[in-house]
Amino acid sequence: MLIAQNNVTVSGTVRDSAGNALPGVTVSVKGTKTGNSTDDQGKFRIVVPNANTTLVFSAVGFLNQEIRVAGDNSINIVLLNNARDLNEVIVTGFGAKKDLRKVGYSITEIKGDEVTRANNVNVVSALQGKVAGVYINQGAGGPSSSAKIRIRGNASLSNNNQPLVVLDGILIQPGTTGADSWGDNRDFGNIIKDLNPDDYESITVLKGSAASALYGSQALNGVLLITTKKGHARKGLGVSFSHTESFDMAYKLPDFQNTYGGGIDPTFKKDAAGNDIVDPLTAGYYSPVPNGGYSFGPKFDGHMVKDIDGRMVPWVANKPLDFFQTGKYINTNVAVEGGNDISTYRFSYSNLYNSSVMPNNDLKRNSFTLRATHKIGNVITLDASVNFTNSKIKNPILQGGNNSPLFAFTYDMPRNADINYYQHNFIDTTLGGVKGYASGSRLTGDPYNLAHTMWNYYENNVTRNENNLLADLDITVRLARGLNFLARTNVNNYNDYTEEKDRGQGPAFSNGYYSLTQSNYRNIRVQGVLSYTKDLAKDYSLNISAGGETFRNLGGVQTQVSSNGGLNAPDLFVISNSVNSPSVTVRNDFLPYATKRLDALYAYGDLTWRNMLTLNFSVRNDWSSALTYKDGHGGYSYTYPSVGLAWIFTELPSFKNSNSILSFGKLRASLGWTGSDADPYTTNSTGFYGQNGTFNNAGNGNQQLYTFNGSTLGNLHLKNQLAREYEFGADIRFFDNRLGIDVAYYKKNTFNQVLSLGTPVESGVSSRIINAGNIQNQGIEILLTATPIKSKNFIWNATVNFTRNRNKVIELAPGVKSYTMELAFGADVSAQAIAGKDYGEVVTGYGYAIYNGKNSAGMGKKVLGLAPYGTTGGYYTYMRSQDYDGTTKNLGNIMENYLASTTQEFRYKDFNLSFQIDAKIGGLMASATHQYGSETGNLKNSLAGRNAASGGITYTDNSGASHDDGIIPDGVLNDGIIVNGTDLGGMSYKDAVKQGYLKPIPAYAYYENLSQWSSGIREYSIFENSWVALREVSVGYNIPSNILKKASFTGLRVAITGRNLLYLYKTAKDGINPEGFFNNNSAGFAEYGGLPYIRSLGFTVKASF
Amino acid sequence: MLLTICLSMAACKKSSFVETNINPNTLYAVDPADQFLAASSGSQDDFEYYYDVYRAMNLWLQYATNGSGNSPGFTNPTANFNYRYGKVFYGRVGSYLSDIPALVSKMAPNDQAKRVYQLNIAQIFKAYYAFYVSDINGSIPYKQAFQARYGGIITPTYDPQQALFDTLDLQIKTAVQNLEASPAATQTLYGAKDPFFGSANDEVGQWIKTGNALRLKIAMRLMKRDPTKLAAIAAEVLADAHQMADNSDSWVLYVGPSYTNPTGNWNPGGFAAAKPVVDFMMANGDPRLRIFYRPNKNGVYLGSYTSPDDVATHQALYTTTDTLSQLQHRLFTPAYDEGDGNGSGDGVGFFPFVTYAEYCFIRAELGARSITSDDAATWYTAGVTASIQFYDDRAQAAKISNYTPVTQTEIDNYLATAAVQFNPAKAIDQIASQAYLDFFRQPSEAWAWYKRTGFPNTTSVLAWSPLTASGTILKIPRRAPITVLPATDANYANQQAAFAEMGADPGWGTGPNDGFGRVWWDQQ
Repeated sequence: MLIAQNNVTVSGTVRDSAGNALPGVTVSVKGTKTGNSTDDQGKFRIVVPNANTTLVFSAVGFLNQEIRVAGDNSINIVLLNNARDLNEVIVTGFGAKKDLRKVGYSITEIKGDEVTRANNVNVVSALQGKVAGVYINQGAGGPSSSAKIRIRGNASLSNNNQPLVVLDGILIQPGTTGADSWGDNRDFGNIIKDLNPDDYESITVLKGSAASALYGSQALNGVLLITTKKGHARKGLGVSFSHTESFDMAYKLPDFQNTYGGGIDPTFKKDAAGNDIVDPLTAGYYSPVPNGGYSFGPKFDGHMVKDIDGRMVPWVANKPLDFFQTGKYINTNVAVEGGNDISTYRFSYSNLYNSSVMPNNDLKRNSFTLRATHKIGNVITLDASVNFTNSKIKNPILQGGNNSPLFAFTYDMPRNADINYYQHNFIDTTLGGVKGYASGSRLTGDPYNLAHTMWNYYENNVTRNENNLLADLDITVRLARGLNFLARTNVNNYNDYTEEKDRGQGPAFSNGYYSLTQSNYRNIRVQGVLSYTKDLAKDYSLNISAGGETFRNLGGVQTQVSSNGGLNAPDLFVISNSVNSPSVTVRNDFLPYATKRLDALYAYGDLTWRNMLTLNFSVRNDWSSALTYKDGHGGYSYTYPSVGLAWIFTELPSFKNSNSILSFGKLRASLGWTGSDADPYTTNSTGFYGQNGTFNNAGNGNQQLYTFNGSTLGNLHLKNQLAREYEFGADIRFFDNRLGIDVAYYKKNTFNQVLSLGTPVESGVSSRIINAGNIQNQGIEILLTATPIKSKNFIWNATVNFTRNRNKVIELAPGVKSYTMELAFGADVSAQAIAGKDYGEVVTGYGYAIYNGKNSAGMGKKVLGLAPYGTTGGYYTYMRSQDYDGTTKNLGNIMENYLASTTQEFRYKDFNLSFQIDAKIGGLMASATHQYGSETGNLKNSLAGRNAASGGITYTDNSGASHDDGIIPDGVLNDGIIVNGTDLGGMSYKDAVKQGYLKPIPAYAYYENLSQWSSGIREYSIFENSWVALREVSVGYNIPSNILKKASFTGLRVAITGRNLLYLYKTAKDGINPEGFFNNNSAGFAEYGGLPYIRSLGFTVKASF
Repeated sequence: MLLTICLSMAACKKSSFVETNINPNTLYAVDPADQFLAASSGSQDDFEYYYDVYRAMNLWLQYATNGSGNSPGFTNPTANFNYRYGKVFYGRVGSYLSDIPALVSKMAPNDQAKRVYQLNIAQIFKAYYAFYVSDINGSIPYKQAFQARYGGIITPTYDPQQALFDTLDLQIKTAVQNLEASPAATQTLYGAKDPFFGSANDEVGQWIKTGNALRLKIAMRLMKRDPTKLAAIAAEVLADAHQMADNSDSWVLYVGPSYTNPTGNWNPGGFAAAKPVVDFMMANGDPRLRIFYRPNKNGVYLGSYTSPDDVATHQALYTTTDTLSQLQHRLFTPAYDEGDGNGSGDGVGFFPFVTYAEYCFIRAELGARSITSDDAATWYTAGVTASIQFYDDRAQAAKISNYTPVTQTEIDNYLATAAVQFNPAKAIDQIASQAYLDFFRQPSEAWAWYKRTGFPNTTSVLAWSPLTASGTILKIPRRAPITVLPATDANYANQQAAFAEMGADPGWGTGPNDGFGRVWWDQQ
């Protein structure tokens, strides 16, 4: 008997890989026209002819999925994102959606889910490794810290080459934050941390000039277009909930040595009672013998010894990692949405708490987002969004100075220093204040300066409260068929207040400090665009838009009021408690507080022929207040055009009907101009006069000083900066789109840089504003996508990104050969732009000197001699080139050679697994932690030569005592070093020892002289910084709907994500954190204290009802 | 539509864009007196104190040592020396003072006529500072310098020191003549914006005296190179009626307590008093001992060995805190918290340029060398007395803790000691040794006198310790090491030309950064 051909009803739910229900997915029976689509909860129901039917699920932006019914009545499907969908529609230009086929330039879109998966406060950090051509470095100053983002190299020599961020049409320019090379600073981060990725549908990265030309003067560095989620028309109320808890763990430090404790002498001295004592003369931070804090003392063996502060302690190495805590990232989002054909709404609230691995440092964020749309008849559509964020940041980590945590634990800090004890005992409980202050003895009260350090971490509290309001209203009016007018108005209103409360380190908590800083600013944008769409004739279709806008920095003010001379009553943090009259500072002369106006008119569109060949074009004219002068002159009007061509050659008849493995092919070419104006007020302020401090005269009166407002000469003929970029690319797919390659080659040249250029100081100015130069970025971006396996239950998706950018300084200005961009170690080392070389050459006079004296035998060797401020023990050490022959050295370049990343995603039934690996190859980094941490023997790099067992040479000192910690430096002696009447110039130290002129150098002095402040070789701590990181691993599970039904969920997903898990490869020296930079400036290449390596592991639960 | 209209209007109304771009903090003109006060206030620099004074000249000239003792390399000058050159002179003093003629030239003619005195006073100040810079640098840009703001050259050539000294002498001489003349227009003076003499009865008269003393001071540098010119200038200056006559004529910048932050770079802590000076002062009862230095924790004055080899053999002195006398903190930074429970000080600080005592020593030396007919003994005694009284005044004004004012008896007793009482056989030695003590707050001038006269030395009345490291005699630098500009610098060629010009004299040393070489006036 034949089996009956019975109709079968199949139902189920379709979701994306993040567990969100997918409405509108087409469900069809393979090989027929029978079909249906999912409802607003992603549910479908379809009647199929038999149990062996295959169903095809398809939706824009997702990979097609075929499922054999095989007797199941209930099928739950997860559709995987298809980054390279042929019919993909992406957000571009002024936020309009556009068919990717018609785009003549490279563009990348990241889904909101991929961003939230990173469990990071900072949306930019979350993009790390996800986009070809984009370099991102996470901040190292705690949760609030700014990440650095650079798209296709540095277009200018300014310290900020970050892209414009456009959130639903609101223009946001992220600033640079962090420390500098001089001292402690806290990184409260830029405005990016006030953006909430939970509400993002997608982020589009506009990389090239043709892509971003519509943003004209604001698009020199590219654009990140963020589109927030909308509500959908649906039955009832949709509620979604997500909760993430992630744990940040400090897991690695620089390579500390754990063998030797404080002191120089390998044997203990004893006190009167016979206890072994830690040597106060050489182990303490304030020790009188040169710098103190040495770790060349006795070997650790755990027996009880008397510490400098008199406590009996076991003789063991400290564990700086124990100081750090487990940071928590807890984020809860609730979104409610609903709507009908007329109106939709979505309201979302997120509560975020992110504590750092650094004690007493956290960020709390509350974000509210409301987006609503409403149609008035068939003519008018309103689309309004309001985002309000309140962020509270407590104690961002001090960076760039003596109080940055790692620096404090390495600099002059012997390995036995009891961090844990002082972390909990830093207050002088008898006299008040910090230990070692009121008692008058820092050496015995706070022998390792740790009480003072901990004071800064626990009793000097700085909190900032930021309020950021972003609001936008778009009104679209349908004027006629194909003709629409968009009017857009938005505002960004920001304010914050920061309080600093120092309890007072003095006796009875005197010398307290309080300051209150408040700032606010506001920007508005009003835009109008008229758009027309028309299919012309038979083969042509046309989109054309024209409009204009005005963008205004309405300005604001930053006001700081601070106590002066201490606080009268301790612990009362109000300004009126100030001992002397409080200080007041008001700033309003720089962005974002300065005022600026940018108006623009533009036209843009595209013309497509036979769905095959598309011509894109745009032209924008800007009028910028920043290029006007007080007397009315100034070229403030300028134009940025662009043109692009996209040719889908697989639409040619010869391809269409062939059985080629080629399934799609598009060639792209584009040419575009973007640029920038100048900072506000530059034209009217530079080179004039202003108030410049006060003179405290003999009568103790303060006379106001009025003089030049700086030593920079203005420029009366500033023009806009102009970048020209052309780009060629191809997007080719094979095997029914299962393998794709997208290649882009670009060359971008930025002209007319507005720079403050160093000028011979003898001219009476130290710099002048110039408007010249040619900075080039040339590169290749390759994106490979593949779906190697695709079956009913298992899918494997893979992407690989590769970027090679060459950032070259073609020319600066006539007669100008170099420009200093960024400093490290104070001003000892700089990153420079040198005409004819790559961006970011590392130049220093503090590198090893190379012998060029009178003894030919020594040529080319490192020179040994004395340092200007003396050397420890008076021993010869490596000389710095600037002290030897006045020269500077070029050590190499800060820019990476390559960036690469890969994301691999696997799905098996309801499980999915993905991981991301990214890599940066090449580029120098400078580390002060390395330099100063090496100084006193705290790192493993100082173990060699300490004793005979570790290679030390035995010698007899002048008093006749024998030692085995001798080191012979690898170099030759400077001319003029005369011993017993012989000039040792050019002789190797080894020979000088052999011939009895000199003795080997004690290990402690050798290492200290090599890397201390006064004589150290900075080159020793500058090294290549390449790495390959396992950035992210994520495992998720969607609870099947047959289980969900019982609990009335429409969707439930759990996921575990690990971030920054480990480095598979790295070249940073001696365990220095490769991503611990202290600011996000463009040319930043220095670490100064940094943080331990941090990895995070967390889980997310997402539910929808 | 609406927007298009707005934009077309806006495009026409450029003025609204201009208005948006005005910085509320910008001034488009200042009064010459403002630039004068800014130059005066900017004439001292914390970095110069940190690197040049405390960590270089004070140590080389044995006024003080590092708290932990001098290290073997302490006489090597470094790249962090010579702050007076770029930061202070070209960055502040010279550039502010150079703006005064430019500001005056923009005034109406009848207003310009009122500013003659202001122009000439500024000229004296600027000439002094150029001299102070050239003194250790040799050739420096001057005639072509400071022109960038006025559309002029940005790559000024260097004036050879010999020519520069001629230029400066002429400028000061002309300024003095102009100040002595009586212009028809009533002159606007700097007044309260002249912190040197603005509050004196006769601001202009004070500047005339200063100009005259300054010409002598500069001319003294010519002693070896051009003694004839020195004599001519001395004769010309001394023929003028306006001469310094007491400490009130001294050209000194007096400042309030917050001018120098005692915990920043100005901090004079961490240095020990040098043994040679302490020993000389103790032996002869010099009342300035308690002004220059602080007693140690035991209430006695104990000087630190200045030679690195001595430090090595006396480590105990350096490893116990407060064993050695330190610099008198408040003489440098009156706000210094002495830790005596009285908190920060609120006294008056001072920075001498040309003091009456120095003027006396110059005249004593001119007399002793028979360049003038001055009586060396008289001027010497006047110099010692003026110096002690000056520092006594300064100590009181600086509110040094527990300070006992100097009595006339103390001065008389001091003058009567064998080492101090004028001895014609040792005239130059004694004059220079006393000038050296007087230059406690002007180590740069002490350095110049040392280079010019050879005193103090290890056998002089006030005897220095021989400086050795590992037995090798340490030399004392004679000029600033000059940082070679990178070849990429715009003024590289002019600097190279100056090097070639200075290097023609073998005394200049082995190269630009050879601090042991000499500038033109410092002839071997």
